[in-house]
Amino acid sequence: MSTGQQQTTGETLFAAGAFAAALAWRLFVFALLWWLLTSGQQAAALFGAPFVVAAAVLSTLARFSTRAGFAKLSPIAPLALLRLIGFFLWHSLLGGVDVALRAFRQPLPLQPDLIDYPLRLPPGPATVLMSGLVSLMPGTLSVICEDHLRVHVLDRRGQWHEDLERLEQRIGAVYRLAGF
Amino acid sequence: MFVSLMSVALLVAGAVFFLAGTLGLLRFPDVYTRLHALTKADNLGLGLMVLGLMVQAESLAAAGKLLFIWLLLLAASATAGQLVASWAQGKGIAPWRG
Repeated sequence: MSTGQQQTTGETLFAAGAFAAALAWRLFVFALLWWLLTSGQQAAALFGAPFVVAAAVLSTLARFSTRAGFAKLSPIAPLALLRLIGFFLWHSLLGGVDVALRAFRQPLPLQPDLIDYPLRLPPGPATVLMSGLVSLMPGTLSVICEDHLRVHVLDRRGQWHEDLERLEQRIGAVYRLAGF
Repeated sequence: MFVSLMSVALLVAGAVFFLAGTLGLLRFPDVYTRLHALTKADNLGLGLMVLGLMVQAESLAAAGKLLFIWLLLLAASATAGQLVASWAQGKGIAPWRG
């Protein structure tokens, strides 16, 4: 980001660029969704186009309107997002296998506990994403998500704390937050 | 032939995880542990089934629609799981401890 006198101009340009990029991305995603839902029929495309545009504009406006108590958001980092998706897919595979093995064992190998995990992420979309993904990771289920995350763990001796830290790290990187 | 075999293998693997999820739902001791079984095993089971159907899909749009269904289910099951768990907390239901 630029410094000194150029800062304001630089920031405005950066914000405009980020807005355009976010809008273009949403147009692409919503058009793709409409195409999927209508199985690519051409007659449906004409009908869906205004809704795709409206949805993209509204969702971009909602994303960039600053709400009280919410940190200002930067555009997401695509590479970090890919890494998060890879991390998530691998861990949801592990999570499914882990819970399936436990379900078949006799006696049940469970040592559940409720733990409080202090969040470094600021409130807002990053925290919502975190609490959603925690429930799909091995051995953890998010119960309450406020300034801290209350997590139910299947095995209190497991390595859930390390997993939560790595997940939080990766989510922070996606949102380009300082310190991640 | 190869595609059909792969599809069958993925569908059967998916069914095993659905079975495990249901078994967990019946065998696990309390609401929290049961939610673990449901959210994780079923999400993986459906993921495998969707993959098994995607390799047989007639068009790219049909394959994409299947993937989209899986993503919607992920969001729904994570949200529903958290809602049920926080409701149980609000009711003061203590978690089972071995």
